[in-house]
Amino acid sequence: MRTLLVVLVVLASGYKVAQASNVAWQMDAASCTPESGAIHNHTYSTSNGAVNQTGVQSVWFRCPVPATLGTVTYLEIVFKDSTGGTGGSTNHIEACLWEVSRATGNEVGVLQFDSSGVSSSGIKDYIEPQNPYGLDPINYTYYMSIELYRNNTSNTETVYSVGLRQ
Amino acid sequence: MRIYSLVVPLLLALGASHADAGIIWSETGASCIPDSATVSGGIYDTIAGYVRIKSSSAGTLNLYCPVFVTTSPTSLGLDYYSAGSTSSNQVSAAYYKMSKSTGSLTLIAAQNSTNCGTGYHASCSTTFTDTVDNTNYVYFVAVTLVNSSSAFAESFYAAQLSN
Repeated sequence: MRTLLVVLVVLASGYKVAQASNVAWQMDAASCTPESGAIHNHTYSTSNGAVNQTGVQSVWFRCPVPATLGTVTYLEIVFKDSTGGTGGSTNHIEACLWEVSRATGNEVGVLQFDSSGVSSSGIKDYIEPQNPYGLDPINYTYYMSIELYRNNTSNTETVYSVGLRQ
Repeated sequence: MRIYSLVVPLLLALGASHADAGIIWSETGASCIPDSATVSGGIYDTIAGYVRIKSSSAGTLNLYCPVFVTTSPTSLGLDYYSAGSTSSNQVSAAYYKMSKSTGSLTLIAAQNSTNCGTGYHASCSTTFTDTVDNTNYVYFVAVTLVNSSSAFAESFYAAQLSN
């Protein structure tokens, strides 16, 4: 009987992990839309599905997110920040899930990521735990923003993909 | 009774066949994102949902189309216009997966208009085998339009994945 209980607990734990790793949505960064300023100023490049900062200051990309995903709990981003999280506010990468009111157009960032808190200078598949957030397709639309900040051209700021997990 | 016993299973079998085989992802050409070199080059037009090389222009366009599917596709389709049938004038689509741990790409399938002929709203497809793994990979379709002769206007209408 005790063995059976242990087996059930182990199976339940595995199921929970499997649920946590369920990818609800994701896309390559090169398929996200560059902001007009990045286009006009030629401050980004796309290569092999990834986007790179080629200038200084910041470049933004926006990625469409289906509003019908239900509840999401993790923001996933594959990126490379050569400063390894030590670049401060001027050399880093941010991502944010934005909720846009259909009634007013007001935008609120509901899930956020900042590479400043991640000590990795190589490519990193980072899954940021968040408070579970339920998307509301009736009243809101959603998009994911990617921001690459750089003030030193010797640094590499690259995003390969973004996603949401349940 | 005899007719029913023959027709009903046949209809059920046909229905099952349609349910199993179908398009699980598609995207119009103008919804795909041009790469930075294509944007800088300024020789592309988006018209009524499709993308084309500007008339009287020659060059190459590269587009990224994001793919998120939860079942494994087995066929890549491409809708295009091509006036040429050589590598100098062609439209191609390639289905890739990108490793989340290394960023490296693996080509899963590719198709090229030179294999399927010229003309307006032509279609081309190819089959493949790959099991979708969204935990470890991100997927996209890369489309390339090549036009070395300004007399043509190679166009990309849409891409599809089916199973």
